[in-house]
Amino acid sequence: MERAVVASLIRHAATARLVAAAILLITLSNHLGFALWTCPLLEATQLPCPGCGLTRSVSALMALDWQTGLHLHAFGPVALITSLLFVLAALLPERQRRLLAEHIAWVERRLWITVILLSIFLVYWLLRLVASI
Amino acid sequence: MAMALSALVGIAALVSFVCWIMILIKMFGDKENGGVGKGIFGLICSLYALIWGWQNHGTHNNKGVMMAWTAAIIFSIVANVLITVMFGASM
Repeated sequence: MERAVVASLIRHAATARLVAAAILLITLSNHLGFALWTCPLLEATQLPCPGCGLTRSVSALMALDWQTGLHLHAFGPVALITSLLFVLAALLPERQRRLLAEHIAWVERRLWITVILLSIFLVYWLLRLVASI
Repeated sequence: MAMALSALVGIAALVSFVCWIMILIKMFGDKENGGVGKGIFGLICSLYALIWGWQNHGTHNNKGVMMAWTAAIIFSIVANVLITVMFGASM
């Protein structure tokens, strides 16, 4: 498994900007009280996907309501930091964005942080699934 | 009318789900542009799977799937707005 996942997404300008725009749009619509994006797994099966609750969690965290944010999704802070990285990458010129991607890739490869977090994320999702059944 | 729209929204949700799964399979299997990491990203954030699907539709000959998924999403958004307006107007 490639360890530098976030870096590989940030490295490409189009991907970084698309993801950043999507994050901002969905967070804003959520903040205004309507769901622009609905989860395909939740809509089809009534079961939450791994990311269900993340947008609301990020919105709560941005309003400094840490308790609600963490209650909605324990990985809200991680999603918030990742979202901010994408927004930053979208705004940076080419050279600086590639430099940012290289730094993030170094952290990801050295600390295995993305692999570890994604693994714990999946376990957390499975626990939530079991709890919701 | 609202019930008919709700039923159609349900069908659109199923179409969305099936298309998402199909794109996830492509993501996990694409060693060059996808992989396990991006596949899990697409699992966590289905919107990223949509973006990836459109960026790589040429490579995987996925245009039909992506068109169906995008149409289902647009239909769901419009239908939900209509249902909200109709339900709100009748109160």
